[in-house]
Amino acid sequence: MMLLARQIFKAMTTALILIGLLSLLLAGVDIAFAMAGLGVVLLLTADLSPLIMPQAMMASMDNFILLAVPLFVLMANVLLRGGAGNDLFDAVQSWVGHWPGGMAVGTILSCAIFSSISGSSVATAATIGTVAIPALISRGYERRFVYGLLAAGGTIGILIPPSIPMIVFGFVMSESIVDLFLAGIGPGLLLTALFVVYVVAWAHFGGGQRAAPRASWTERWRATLRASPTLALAVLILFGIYFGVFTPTEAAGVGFVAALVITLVIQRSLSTGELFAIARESARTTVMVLFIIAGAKVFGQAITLYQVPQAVTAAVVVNLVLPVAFVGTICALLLVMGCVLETLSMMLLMLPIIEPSLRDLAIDPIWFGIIFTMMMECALITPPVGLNLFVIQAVASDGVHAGRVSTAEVARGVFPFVLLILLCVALVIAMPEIALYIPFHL
Amino acid sequence: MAKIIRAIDRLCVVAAGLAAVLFFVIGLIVTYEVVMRYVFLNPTRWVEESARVLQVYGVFLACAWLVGRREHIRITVVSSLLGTGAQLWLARLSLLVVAAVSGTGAWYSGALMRFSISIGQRTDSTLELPMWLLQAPLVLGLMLAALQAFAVMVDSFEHPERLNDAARAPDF
Repeated sequence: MMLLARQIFKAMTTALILIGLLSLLLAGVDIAFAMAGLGVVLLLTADLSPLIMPQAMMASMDNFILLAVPLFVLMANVLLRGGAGNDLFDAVQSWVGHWPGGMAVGTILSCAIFSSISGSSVATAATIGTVAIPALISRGYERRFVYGLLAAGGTIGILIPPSIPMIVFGFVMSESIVDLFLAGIGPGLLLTALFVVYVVAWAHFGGGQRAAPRASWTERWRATLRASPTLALAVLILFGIYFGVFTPTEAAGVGFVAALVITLVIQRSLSTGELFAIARESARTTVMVLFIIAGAKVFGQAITLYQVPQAVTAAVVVNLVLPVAFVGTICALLLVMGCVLETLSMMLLMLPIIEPSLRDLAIDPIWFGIIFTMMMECALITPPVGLNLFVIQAVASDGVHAGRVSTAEVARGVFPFVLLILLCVALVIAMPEIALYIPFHL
Repeated sequence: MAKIIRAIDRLCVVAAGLAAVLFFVIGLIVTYEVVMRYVFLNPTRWVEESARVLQVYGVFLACAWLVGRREHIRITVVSSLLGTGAQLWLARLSLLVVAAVSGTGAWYSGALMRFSISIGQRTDSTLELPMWLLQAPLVLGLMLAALQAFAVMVDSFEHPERLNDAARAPDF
């Protein structure tokens, strides 16, 4: 009887905490402050030391792994301002642009290559979108298709390493960032291939576009040479991490300095006057990401002391015995949550609560991290709250070929790509080796 | 009052500028470490810890700047459905929560820092830095964030148009 009463009390406490957090979030309180605030209230209510709050916030920021976030953001911003996307797009187009649907194929390939130097989907979508959208529309590609292609293509940025969400996932779950990065390669290439197949099929069955003229060999080599520093940077980062030459944080630092050398010295596409603006923009993005982690840390510690994750785990283990059922349920939940929540908040809200369940169900956290990242890709392009939709809307509206573009128009274009991402998720769930082969067997 | 609000905002801009420089410096010293290790076979003892400390400073110094521009991540699905007046009041309420949480954080960070100073606490690391050095940015940053949130809220009664409710999200 006592045990039952205790369990009911625990369940009610859990529900109250989650309802309290949800109310604050839906009222529009900044997520970091909502989590930290609720965390400190919980600590005070339970008569625990409120000094846990500053200790948790400081400890979460005093971390070498998380240093990769500002450095990858800096690198992406340097490349974005330095026009690295243009060179890359031109080089890829010179090789495949004359194929049927070749310009769209080239766009996806450019996104995939840029993903390997940028850990950000927004940077990828914005960088490639700026040059690709006008080019595709001028070749007669249907606008809706173009917008969907770029919004979805940008999401590859968080799956192919480096990836900022993977760094955050690894930090929260105390998992190897390197393993997560390596596990992202297989699904990243699979998703790229699925996108390419779809694009070719779409073009074959009446896309209405005109193929670009075939580039001469001289033009190809010239374009490739121009893009070669960016390609070399991608190789340096990927192989540097893979062969253990440097840690992900060091790779980000080296990548940032290399990006500076490429844009300031080799290509001279960036002036030193722009550096402060780049640093400030990067600081803005970094603090947005890291401060929410600090808030989540306070909340995470408080709910652990209240045994909320344990209560959730107990309910999960009773009702969802099969790991696949658990993963499927989480994916369905993420698909729904992704429509209304921003991706990082989704991750930081869910992970501290479901982490013990993963352990109890013996689910590989690296495999789960990749599935989670792919569901975040969906969240980035599902309306009404899909960050990449807004980015492509802004980029497309700036273009000379478009008037004001609505988010709805972009959203209609992404639908087939959402289905392809879900197909990829299903394949990775059915065949975990797609993700786990490279980090653990190669 | 307007002068005080402007002064707080200016302070936040300066702190954010400093934070931007710190993140830039982190990139340079992390690369310096790699070069020293592989080119000169002489790894440093100070880079890792210094970079971590600079990150703590960078994050907390720039925090108030984002509060002032309402650029911290938040969910606007519900508030965007409301009328302008209701949105404005919800934004003020949100700022009040931010001010309260930041103020509380600054208060307890101060308590922690005073305690660290009183016992001469140092980090358990190679450089053995005084612990208060890591706690100071929390006190400064959170206090500035509390002041900024309060200032923006007060300012919104005079200039409601400045309380832009267009949520922004991080670039990743």
